Amino acid sequence: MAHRYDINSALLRDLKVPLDGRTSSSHSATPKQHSQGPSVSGTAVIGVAFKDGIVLAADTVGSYGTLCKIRTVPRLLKVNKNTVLAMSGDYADFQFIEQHIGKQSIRDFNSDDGYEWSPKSLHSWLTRVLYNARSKIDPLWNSYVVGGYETETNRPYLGGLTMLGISYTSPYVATGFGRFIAQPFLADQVEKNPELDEKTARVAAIHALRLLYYRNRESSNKYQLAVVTKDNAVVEPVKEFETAWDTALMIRGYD
Amino acid sequence: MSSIGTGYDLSSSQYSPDGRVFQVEYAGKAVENSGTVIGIRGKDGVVFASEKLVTTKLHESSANRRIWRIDTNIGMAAAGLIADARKLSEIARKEAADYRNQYGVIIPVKELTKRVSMYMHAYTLYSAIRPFGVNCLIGGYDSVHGAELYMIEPSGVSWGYFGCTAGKAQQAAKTEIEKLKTTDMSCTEIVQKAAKIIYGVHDAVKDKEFILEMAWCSEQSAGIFEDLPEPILKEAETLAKQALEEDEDAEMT
Amino acid sequence: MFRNQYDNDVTVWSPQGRLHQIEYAMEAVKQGSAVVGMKNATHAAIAAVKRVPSELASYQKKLFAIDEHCGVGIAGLTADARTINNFLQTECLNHRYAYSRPMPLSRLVGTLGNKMQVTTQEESGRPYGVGLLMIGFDHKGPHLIQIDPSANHYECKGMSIGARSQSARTYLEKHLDTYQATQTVEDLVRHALRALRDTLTNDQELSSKLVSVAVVGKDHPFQVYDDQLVEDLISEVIKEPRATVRPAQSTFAVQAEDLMEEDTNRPPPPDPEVAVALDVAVHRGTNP
Repeated sequence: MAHRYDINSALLRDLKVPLDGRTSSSHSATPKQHSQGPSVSGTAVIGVAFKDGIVLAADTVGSYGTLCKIRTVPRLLKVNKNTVLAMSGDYADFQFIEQHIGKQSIRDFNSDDGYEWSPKSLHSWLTRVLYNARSKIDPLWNSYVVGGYETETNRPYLGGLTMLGISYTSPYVATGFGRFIAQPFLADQVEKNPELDEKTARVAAIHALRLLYYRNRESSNKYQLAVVTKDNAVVEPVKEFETAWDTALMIRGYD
Repeated sequence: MSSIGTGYDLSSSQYSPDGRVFQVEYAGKAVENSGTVIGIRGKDGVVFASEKLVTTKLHESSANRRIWRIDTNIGMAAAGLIADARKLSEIARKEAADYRNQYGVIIPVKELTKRVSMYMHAYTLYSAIRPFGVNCLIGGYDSVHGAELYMIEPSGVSWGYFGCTAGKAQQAAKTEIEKLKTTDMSCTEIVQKAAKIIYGVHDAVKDKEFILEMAWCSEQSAGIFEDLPEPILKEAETLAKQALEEDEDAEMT
Repeated sequence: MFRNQYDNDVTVWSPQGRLHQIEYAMEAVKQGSAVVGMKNATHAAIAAVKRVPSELASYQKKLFAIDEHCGVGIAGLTADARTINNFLQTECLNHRYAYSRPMPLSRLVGTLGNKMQVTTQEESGRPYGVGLLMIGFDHKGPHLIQIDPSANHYECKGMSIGARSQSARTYLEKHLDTYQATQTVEDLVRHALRALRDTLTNDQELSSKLVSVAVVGKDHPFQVYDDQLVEDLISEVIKEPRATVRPAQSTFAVQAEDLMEEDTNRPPPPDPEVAVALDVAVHRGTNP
């Protein structure tokens, strides 16, 4: 067999450029890598604004890959009486953020000057943190929904945020898989009825979770709601929503 | 004072021939020029009171605070240079926050005191910096440790106290606290005594006006270090004024 | 002559527990021309005397915007003030960047206080030789804050610092209730102008050449008034009779005397020219 001259190998040998970690070079040739994916994570969260408040909804699963590792874990955080946060993505990264928020809350409390987190300021700050991290190619693996009541404007506030630092406000928000499945449904709801009341918003949020639950094995029907109205934020106890599987028999191709 | 003019009293990093560090003692003098501050530890909490001297009516009543919250159930009161004290309160807050971050629980008052006193002590060692002109009272209350109260001096020395005083009338106030059986008293009782002590030691001739500033961390405040609620403060002030008038009347007769 | 050996360094306590270098830094504030500040329920205002160092120069700036919601008036070493203003502006910008809302005045002043405190405790450098009156508006309403070289800061209802500011403070104390109850920002500014007028010497009178005015308040970003606006407000105030008549004289000589308590009988020797730039033209008057 004729010897085939490998021009690339020859070039690289001459240039002494190591292409892999097996060379005798003192430093590794592979670039430094940060986290490439989440560990224990939460799936999509939902946010819906109504005429005098907002509602956030999330199921309570902490998944480890496709394993349902933790069945009941809170994914809604009450920051203060005006502000709540819903997380999806890596739970440890969320806890890191949670610790920072708590630290700032105590600092605010110590100052005794009535200045504290507002949904807008939390949304802004989170955006800076997430964008900064991703710009160092070491992202925090989370998407967030920030909701609450903005006392300055006297209006409800609802904002979304991705792990790349993409930040937006909207009367309805969903993260992750929810952007494809729940968001169109929520858009429809809000368009039909721009002045949603609290009850309709709650029903819509739960139904959005239901839509996701039917289509995503990482989710569950155990969920929590957080409702913020003027000067009152409540993260409600864990509940389960009703599901109906009778149509499942008609699905073909998965059995 | 024999120290003056000897040249041995110009630097913190220098001893006098008889083994004293005069700069630290002079810093203590700054504390003695300040409005009086007291701290009392009762059976269910600690109470701080401060005589906030009013130099001009152009300042808001909120100006010149001498009591700060350090963490949810820990507070600090200070006599001496306010700018120095504010810096220390900031240091204390940072230490408390660091501890929380590390261990997930609030810093014990004893540990906080240790850290702040080490900081203050470091400022007594070098000629390029001066000691803090502050006496720093640190107190807190929680169900695990009960009520705790410490005072740090400009030298960085700290002691635990049942009751401690600093500032202009520290001696007189101390004598008054010593008359109390503080360990058996609830904070509600202590509040009234403390208000009376501040009103009692205030020198109305030299320092015309003052504002009574009080804070506590106790069962009554649900374990939160906070300013004394307005109605309780007002009541304590009224009772203090009454008690003083009665005392004066008794002296007259 | 007895020489105070405890007043050379900010790191040396005097046996009485005083820090003379800080006290001297406070004197530098009095060298600057006067600034007056006050507030009512919705607004805060500052007015300052600006000096022209020479016929060929423009006037020294006395009022500075820090952010949309706050600004300062300064008295003392202008160059020191510049460092402080820069710091304040940076703090406010960083806060806005992180939280998308203005920094509360109490926090802003707290960080400045801690920065200034360091210069009062460490040998490297000296305390700032400038006093500030900061006005601003935040979630707590309007603010007026006095900041001293000692790193102390005070929340005020009305205040004045700088040369002959005692006269203004007298006005501010006397009319405390009146200006606090004013309903419009114009009325508030007129009170500031009256207070400032009391600091002027007999040969001076309010004019837009001599006075700068700035205001901030509810839905009213920090604004330095232009000359025409100042002139309009002044025009009414100067019709009123002046409260006090004081001879034209330099305060500098008087203060130099204060510093040499033990030698008041003799007229003080002429001081050397001040090496650092003050925001006031230092003119030697004849000693009384």
